[in-house]
Amino acid sequence: MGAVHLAHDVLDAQLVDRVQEKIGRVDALLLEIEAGRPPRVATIVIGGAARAERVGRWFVAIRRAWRAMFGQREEHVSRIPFDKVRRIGDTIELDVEERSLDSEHLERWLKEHVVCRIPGAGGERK
Amino acid sequence: MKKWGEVALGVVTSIGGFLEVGSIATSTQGGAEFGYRLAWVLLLGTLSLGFLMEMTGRLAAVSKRTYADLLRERFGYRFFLLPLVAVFAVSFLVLASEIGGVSIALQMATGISFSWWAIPVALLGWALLWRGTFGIVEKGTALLGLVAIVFAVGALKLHPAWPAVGRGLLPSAPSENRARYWYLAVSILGASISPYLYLFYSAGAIEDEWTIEHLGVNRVTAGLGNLFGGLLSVAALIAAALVLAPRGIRVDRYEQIAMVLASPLGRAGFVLFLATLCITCFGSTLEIVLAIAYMLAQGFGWAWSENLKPGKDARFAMSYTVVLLLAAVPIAIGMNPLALTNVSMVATAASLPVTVIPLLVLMNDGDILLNHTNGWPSNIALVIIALLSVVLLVAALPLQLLGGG
Amino acid sequence: MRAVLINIARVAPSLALALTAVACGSPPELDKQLETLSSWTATMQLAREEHGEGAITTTYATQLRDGALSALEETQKTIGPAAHSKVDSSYAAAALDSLRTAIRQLNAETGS
Repeated sequence: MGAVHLAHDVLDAQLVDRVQEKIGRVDALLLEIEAGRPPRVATIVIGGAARAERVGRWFVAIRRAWRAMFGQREEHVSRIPFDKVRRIGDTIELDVEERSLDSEHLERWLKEHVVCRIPGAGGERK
Repeated sequence: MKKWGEVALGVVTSIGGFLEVGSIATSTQGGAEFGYRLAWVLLLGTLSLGFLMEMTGRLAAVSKRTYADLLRERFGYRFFLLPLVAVFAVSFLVLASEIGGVSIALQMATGISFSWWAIPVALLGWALLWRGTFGIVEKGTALLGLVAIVFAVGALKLHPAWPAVGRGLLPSAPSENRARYWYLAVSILGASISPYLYLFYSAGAIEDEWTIEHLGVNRVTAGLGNLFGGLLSVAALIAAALVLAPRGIRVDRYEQIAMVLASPLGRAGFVLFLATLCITCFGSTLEIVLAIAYMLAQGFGWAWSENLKPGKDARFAMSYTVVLLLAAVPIAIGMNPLALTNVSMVATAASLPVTVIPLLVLMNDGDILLNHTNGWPSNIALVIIALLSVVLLVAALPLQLLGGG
Repeated sequence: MRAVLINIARVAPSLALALTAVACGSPPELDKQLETLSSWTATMQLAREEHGEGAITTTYATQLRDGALSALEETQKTIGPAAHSKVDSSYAAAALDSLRTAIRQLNAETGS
């Protein structure tokens, strides 16, 4: 794949799955650091507190308070190994299925419990 | 052939899109209180918007990503929050005002108080977004929005003194009522240069699958569409200057604006004014709520498109649903629509820097725009607009307090 | 950045005072209120013309009239304190009277 500029080309980039559907953005990258070896990009993180952490501790605190108010306890984060990356271009293609991603939990929940209860919501394209 | 069809559609959409509750309210207030003297502000706003739209359209056509996409990608999540919150807050106010515009038009037609119309209007808008495609929303509001041409007809029928109008197109400063004059200038600019307009335009370019081949179409659409739209706003100003100003009538309530077209054009003018207010505000309602939902979805990387069934982009669909219904609340509880509009226009003007300044960076980025980055004319225009936006930010609050009327 | 913050801190107290004064709202000056009254008077007159020509509906004219009525009511309360001399008071009285007359005339025209 050659040299990849992480901050410029990977962080905040749009992610798509095997069938080119949007599955969020790269909210954080985790490096694996082992003594005696160069660091390697190990994991793409989508969702959870990752975005809030990039803003600052005060933002994380606000987020925690907000979630506490609504009684949300589970974090829906996806941590995807970097070797699932197929292509880096305008979007980053990952060899995953949307169904397997915990970060898409809200999408699935809304679809099942709200959207599909309203007529006219089903199907592919209008 | 198809290209020219697209150009025509684009131009027509921009015409209708330009005239909406904000421009109708601010242009007629301006005409009633200062005659033709604020016309140059409309010209400035129109030109600025034309440049901004051409640029965000070019961004989408070349990079295959919308302006909101690029705000997140190129500046990072932390910075992106700033335009996100600003655009959301300001656009929400404008959205509530547009619902107010439709509601007032229906009140003037039926006698049933405007607050009763807010929720039905929001529900109808929601139903169209839920079931309709981007093409339907775009083309429908565009074609119906042509009714706004009645303003041009009305203005012409009033036989304005064209040399005087011409003088109004040159920048001037008054010797009295200065605070009020500049306050109206700021609100006119806020009505003309609204972030939702160029954000929506950018997303629309992706919905319509524009490519590098569309750059010419983009230029013509952004340029001509806004030019015609601006002319209609000037027509509204002229009509108010000739019907209201000589009689010393100030626009204190929306209802007074209808007289501006009833005077030259009789019953037909009155009816078409109501139709124009209703249709252009309704079209803008759909545009604004979509612009908000687009920005959320694109910023967070959700699936999004008006051409997808809601089941395929649930978060996007729920975004426009919730926002639209919430935006109906201010009018439903009886908030004064004109006051709401005036405040939202000034707020819009003040919010411009966060969506104009990033363009200075993006439009010169060869990675995104390949060899279609800004030439020096576009860059000069953009710098001027950016400086203007900073001036507006600084002046907005003082002028709202001193000239808010 | 720090210089800017320090300057804002220096200006802040006077700014806060000015904002409070404007927000708490002293009654609008006499001139402004007279303008409001004459604006609505002229509105009523124009509405009467347009209704006579059949350009506007009675439903709509009634809404304009209601707007004028509420402007009249509001101004009646605040114009007293704003008039500081006999001359001012007579202007105020005349303006209020004109508006009342204009509203009556529109009512006559629309038959409401």
